[in-house]
Amino acid sequence: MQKWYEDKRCEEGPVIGGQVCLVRNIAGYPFSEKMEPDQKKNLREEVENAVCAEEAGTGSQFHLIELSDEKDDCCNALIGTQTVPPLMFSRTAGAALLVTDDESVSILINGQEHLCIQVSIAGNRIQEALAKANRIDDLLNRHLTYAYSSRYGYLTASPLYTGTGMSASYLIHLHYLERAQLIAKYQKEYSQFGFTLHGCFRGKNAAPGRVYRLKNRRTLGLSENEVISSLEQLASQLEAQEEKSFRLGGDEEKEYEIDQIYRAYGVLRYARDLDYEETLVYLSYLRAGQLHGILKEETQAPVTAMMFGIHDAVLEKRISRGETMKDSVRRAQYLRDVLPQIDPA
Amino acid sequence: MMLCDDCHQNEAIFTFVEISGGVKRELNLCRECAAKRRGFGPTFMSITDTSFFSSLLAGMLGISDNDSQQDGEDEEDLRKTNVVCPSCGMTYDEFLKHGTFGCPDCYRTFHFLLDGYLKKMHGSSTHCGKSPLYGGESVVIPFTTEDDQQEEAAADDGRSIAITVDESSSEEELRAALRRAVAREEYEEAARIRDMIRALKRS
Ligand SMILES: [Zn+2]
Ligand SMILES: [Zn+2]
Repeated sequence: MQKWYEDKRCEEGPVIGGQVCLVRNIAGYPFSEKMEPDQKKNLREEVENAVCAEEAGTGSQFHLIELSDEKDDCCNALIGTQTVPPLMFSRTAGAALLVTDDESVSILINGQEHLCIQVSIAGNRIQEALAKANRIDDLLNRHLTYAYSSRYGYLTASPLYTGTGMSASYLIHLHYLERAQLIAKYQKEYSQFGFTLHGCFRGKNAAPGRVYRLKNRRTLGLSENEVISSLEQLASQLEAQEEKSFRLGGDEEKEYEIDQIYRAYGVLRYARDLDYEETLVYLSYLRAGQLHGILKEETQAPVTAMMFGIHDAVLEKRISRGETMKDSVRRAQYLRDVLPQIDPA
Repeated sequence: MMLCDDCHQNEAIFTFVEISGGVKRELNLCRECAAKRRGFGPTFMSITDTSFFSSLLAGMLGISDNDSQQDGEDEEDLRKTNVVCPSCGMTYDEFLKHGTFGCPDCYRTFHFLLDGYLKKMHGSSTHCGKSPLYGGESVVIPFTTEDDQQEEAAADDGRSIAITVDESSSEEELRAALRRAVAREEYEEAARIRDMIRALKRS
């Protein structure tokens, strides 16, 4: 089944996709940190029953991943594909993930908070993601009483989510904005609106692959819709600035850029041993080249899927375990498999 | 385990700062003895009893006739004040240390300390947005006073809130205002005035 990040709409603009995450806790239980194993078991049952009863209404089909006895690779792969927010993750007994085949909806149970409902969507459609998350939230709420106070809103173990319990974010590829060294400026500006702009993938560099996550920090005093419309505004501002940064620069710079893009393609296509961050750098060029019509091949490369797919753990999961192979060699092999061939111009 | 200074038997869970005759004394008490000292029977002493907290807070803020002795130690006192959540046993100290609450009731237990904390984090301490369709309010947290709500509403409108004292007020005026604020259980205003007193002393 096609994953949400394999959708063509991930490649249509600087915005790759959006994610909405609702944190909920169930009344009558202490928060995760203070829970006994029995309580975790009961809570887990309550949530699973609720999901079972409402599965039809959610329009999704979930399968369960038992996080406590999964292998490290599987858990890391879930983080690599952004299926679970890393800060929510937990592998203590009773922790489980309900996830759809396309990975667009995931419900984390017994993570750092009781429940974390996450909806991911390709492209610039964050409102749709919120609507879907809200629908699932309401359906589960028919069976589960949430910890809620009208004064502080949804009560969460971490005060970072108190209130709406909502984190909404856009993944944005800012290839030219980073080249123009403008990221720090926007980080500073947006922090005043309660938004953070950080690298999406983890590595030695601040933002490997020049992919950023624009995310709300405030959950109190602003409604979900206010946060979402600010997010949309800031994202469209970033998109416009990214476009502007692309247009800047003379012919010489353009020629250099075109050369860089083809070089990146060449390395991705023919290299036999590729480091993770190095690969993200080349993929960033490839994506920029496709987006601005510099690479004109018939079949566009699914760059987002590749960015997610080259993560060590995701590779491990994809390629048969029998072979013992260095991650970097495995990565190069995977890229050769998925990268479309372009005619030498 | 720290033993109660009065009965020397139970675990001390409250720390009071007592100031009498210009001498500051720290008092560690168990729940029962704390209740006795404050003139409440144990059955009356709810953990969120605001009048209890008003005197507790008065202790923390160092409000007494000799309160000038109290310079700069308020923060430390605040840190030492061990309020315990009756539902999960979490103390405010622990919360500050781990940065997470133990259970939903912690919000009710610590609410008189939380507004400032949450405001710093989110720029607001009042929820705005979705509420559950089913189940309603499972944890009831009182708004501190009606004035507070009005202040909040006024602040939301972008208008300035009615303040009776400011940086130009004399130390005496500030002290009087501080006592009034505590009596009215306006803890945030009290903290604001306390900070002004401190700033005044530093200058
Ligand atoms: Zn005692
Ligand atoms: Zn508690």
